[in-house]
This record gives sequence, structure tokens and C-alpha cells, in this order.
Amino acid sequence: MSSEGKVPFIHVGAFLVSELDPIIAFVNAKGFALTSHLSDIERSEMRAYMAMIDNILVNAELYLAWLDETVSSEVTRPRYGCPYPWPLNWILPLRKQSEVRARLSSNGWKDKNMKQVCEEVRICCQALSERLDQQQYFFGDKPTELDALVFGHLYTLITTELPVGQFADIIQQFSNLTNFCKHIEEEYFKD
Amino acid sequence: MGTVYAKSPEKQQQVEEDFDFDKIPAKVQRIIVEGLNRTKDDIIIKQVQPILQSSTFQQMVQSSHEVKMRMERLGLFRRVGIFIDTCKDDPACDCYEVTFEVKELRPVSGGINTLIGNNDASLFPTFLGSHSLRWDGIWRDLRALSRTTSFAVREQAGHSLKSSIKHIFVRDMRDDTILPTTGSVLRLIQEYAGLGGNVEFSKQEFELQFNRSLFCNAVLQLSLAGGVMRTLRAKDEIRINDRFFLGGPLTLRGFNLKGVGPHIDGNALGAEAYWLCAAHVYTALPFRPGKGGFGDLFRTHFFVNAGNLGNINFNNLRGSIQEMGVQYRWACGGGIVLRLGRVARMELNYVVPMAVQQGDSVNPGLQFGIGLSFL
Repeated sequence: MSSEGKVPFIHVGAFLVSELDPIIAFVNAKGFALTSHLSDIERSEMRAYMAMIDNILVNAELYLAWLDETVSSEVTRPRYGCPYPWPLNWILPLRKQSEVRARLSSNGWKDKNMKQVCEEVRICCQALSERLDQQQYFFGDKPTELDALVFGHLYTLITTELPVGQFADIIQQFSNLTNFCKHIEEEYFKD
Repeated sequence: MGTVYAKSPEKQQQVEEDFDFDKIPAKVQRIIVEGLNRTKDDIIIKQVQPILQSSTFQQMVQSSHEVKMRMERLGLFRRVGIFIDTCKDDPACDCYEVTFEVKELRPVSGGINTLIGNNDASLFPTFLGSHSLRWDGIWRDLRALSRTTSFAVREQAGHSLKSSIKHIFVRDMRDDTILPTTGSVLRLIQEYAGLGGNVEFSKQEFELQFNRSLFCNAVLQLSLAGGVMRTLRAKDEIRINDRFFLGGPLTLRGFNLKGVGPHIDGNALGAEAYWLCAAHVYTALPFRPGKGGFGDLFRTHFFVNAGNLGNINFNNLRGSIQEMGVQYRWACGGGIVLRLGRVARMELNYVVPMAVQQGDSVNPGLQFGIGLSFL
């Protein structure tokens, strides 16, 4: 539905904005900022963490979903193809898989094995866990974009049932991260 | 014609000075059409009948040639050849045999389809007889190409697969497809989508055109077209890719391409039914420049066209049809038509829209169009 074919997107009046960064910029332009209580140093620190998630967690998720043979054939491909009739329900997932493979091969992730990928995820979680420490949110007592991004990724990884559950196991080792997810779920997503 | 010389040498010597084919008596005793497999006899018999009436050699040759042209225009044959011989039964009399050698079109043939614009027509139409039954399997990927694309269109974005059976009936008796002077054409299209794929609908369309020569080479052309479709899965509405659109320089002149009917934020949404009619008077260019050559590719024409596009509520059929008849659009104008080969035409018109509805995208004044199908 978005012009670039990307999610997430928001629809505000005549505007349709897609992907996280443009959405944040758009919302800021409308006068809503979650980072106004941060100093410049904290703000750049937050951006660094967000970049780490884009570079590690996103690639690891793509690797698990599309390159791991079991997950891609049992979960990802059927799920991606289910809205379409035959033969699109197998053409489109295969096309997407080759796109993901090209992306991961260009940044070197394709040649990693599952163990190396898990190690990357563990390092990423370690860094996040240390930053969060025992605080309620990553930066003080107010949520920022980073909190939203971390919650989005970690909550999905913990709650999605897959035939291969390594990522969830890694995240469960960091109790402050799982508590963080639970807390945000109760705070914002409970009816 | 070598046969004629060979068979009647004495005659030829006698009339050497004013040899006139028109004076040679001839009687066509038999007409043979070779190469018919699928074409029905009644079509052919009707076509060749005029030959039997010829009484002289010249008439026979002439009418045979006319029949050949007419058979070619039927669109049933790839090639038509004529062969005239004396009658084998009794070589002494003035009897002749006319043989047509025809080659039928292949029953299965490919075509290129343009899905752009209102000219959703086969570039190379071929027919099995005058009926054509075909299966369409089309994978469509609809995308929002610009930031301003309306949300109603975005909601339809994505992949869809249409698998449909289409029956096309064409009865084209015109002397020309682009600038006819006489004859009529009837075109009926029935489409059923839903053999696999994820779109299900049935669609009916018709097109009728009459041409009549008036005084001074002027031609009157009357056209009428319409269509209606219905979804076969009550919970799904018909996708925008499959709906009808109306308006454009060769259909409903005076309106922009797809300019008629429901619009949201400048995007035409199309509808499930339409009707369209037009009356043209064609004449040669004023003062006939380039007569007999380049100038004959041009015509001036004056026209009135009217139409409407809307949705039909099948629970209130009468009301919907009445509504379609009341809020119609019409426009009149005149301009120049140029024939492009045997397949397309170009028009430059000055149009005055006379009745428009709210939301229509109107094109008053000069309008230019080029296309394969027109009304």
C-alpha cells in the first residue's frame, strides 16, 4: 500500500508515510517528539543503538526466516504465500527468498552459519541489556523510538513459535530485556 | 485468361480490333471452395452467390474479385486465391468453373494484449470462424506509483491472478475497419473469471455500429456499446483492474481518458456498468486536397457522443438502470480523422462537453487521440 512497498506506514489525512525513520521525522515535524528530554549525546547514542538493531537483529531475523531451511520451508514461505492463489503462492515466496539471499550475500551474512548468527544476536542483546540495566526505559523514565524498536523486535522473537527457537532462548537469558517487553506490553498493549 | 485464348482462337481473330471481355458470354456453372475445414458452409454460400449471376466474362472476373475481397475481410482466412477454368463437363459451351483456394486461420493463436488505457484490444485479432474462445491467465501486480495515489486505490494494491474464459463473437460486414463507408459490425464479449486465480466475476460487453453512405461521399455512422459485470463472490468487490472505465479521445470525446465516473483524489475508480453511443458524419476534407492519394487518408467528421458509467445494484435493477439513463454525459464537436495503416486511427477534434457530472475530468476544446479501437 505504501509507495515504496515497505512497512510500517501511517496514514494521516492526505499523507502516507512509510518506514520508521520517515515516520519519526514526519511526527517530529508535526510537533511530537519522544526525544526532547534527551541531551545531544544521548540522542546520538540512541541512534547508534537503533543502527545496531538494523545491522544485527534485522539481518539475523532475515537469516532465520529465509535462509534457515527448516524455518523458511515450514513457516516463512507458506505464510508469505498464503494470501495468493496457486501458482503465485509459490512463485512470490521464492522470489522474496532470492531477494533476501541477495541482500544477505551483499553484506556477508549469507556465509555465516547458524552458530555465528546466534553469537551476533547474543552480542546485540548483551549490549542492549547493559544499556537498559535496571531502568524502566532505555533513557530514563520516558520511552523513546529505541524502546519501540527494541520491543518490536524482541517481543516478536520471543512470542513467535518456530521449529528453531534459538533466538528466543538467547533473549530469555537476559531477564531485564524480557521484563522490559512484559512491562511495555502491559503498559501499552493491554486492552 | 490464357484459357480463353486457347479455347477460342477463331473468335479472337474475328474480334481482334475491338476485343471486349464484356461481350463474351459466360455462365458460371460451378463454384468450388477448397480448404474449408471449420468454416460453416452457410457463410461461404452467401458470400459467393453474386458470381452465379454474371452473364459475361468480365462480370464473372469482376464479381469473383469482389467476393475474394469480401472473404478476406471476414477475417476467417489467411489467404484467398481465385482460379477460373472452363467447365470440364462440356468444353464447347460458355460454361466456367470458379475455384477459390482458401487457407483458414489456425484455431489457436497468440495475441498481444495491451492492458493500458481504454484500448484493451488485441493487436492481432484472429478468430476461429467469427467466434473466438480463449483462456486468459493474467498475473497482475498493482502498485501505488506516486505519493498522491489515493488510499482507495492503495487498498487494491498487490498481486492478483485472473484466470478467465472469454468468448468473443464478431460479425463484421463493414468495407473497412477504420474508415468504413458501408456495412455494420456486431461484437459480443462474454467473460467468466474464476477458474482458479483469485478474481471471480462475469462480464458482458457488446458493440454495434452501422454505416451508411449519404450524398457527396458523406458517411453516417451510428455506434452503440455497453457492458455490465458482476462479482461471483458476494464478499469481494470487483478489483479496479477489472472494472470498466469510460472517457477518452476515441470513446467518449470531450472527457479525459477514464475521466467519467467515480473518482477519489483524482484517481478514477471505474465502475461495473457502462453504456456509450455516438453518431458521426464523415466527409472528405474540404476542397479535397491530395485527392486520390495522401488526402484520402483523412476525413473530417462531426459527432455527438453520450455515455454513462455507474454501478448496478442487482437488487434494484430497474432503479439502477433508470439512474444510468438519467445522469448521462454528452458532448459534441468536429475534427479530422487520420487513418494509420489498417489498424489504427488518429483524431484531432474540437469538442464541447454539453452535460457533465460532478467529479468528471473534462477536456473541452482541442482533444487529440490515437488508438486501435474507437466508437
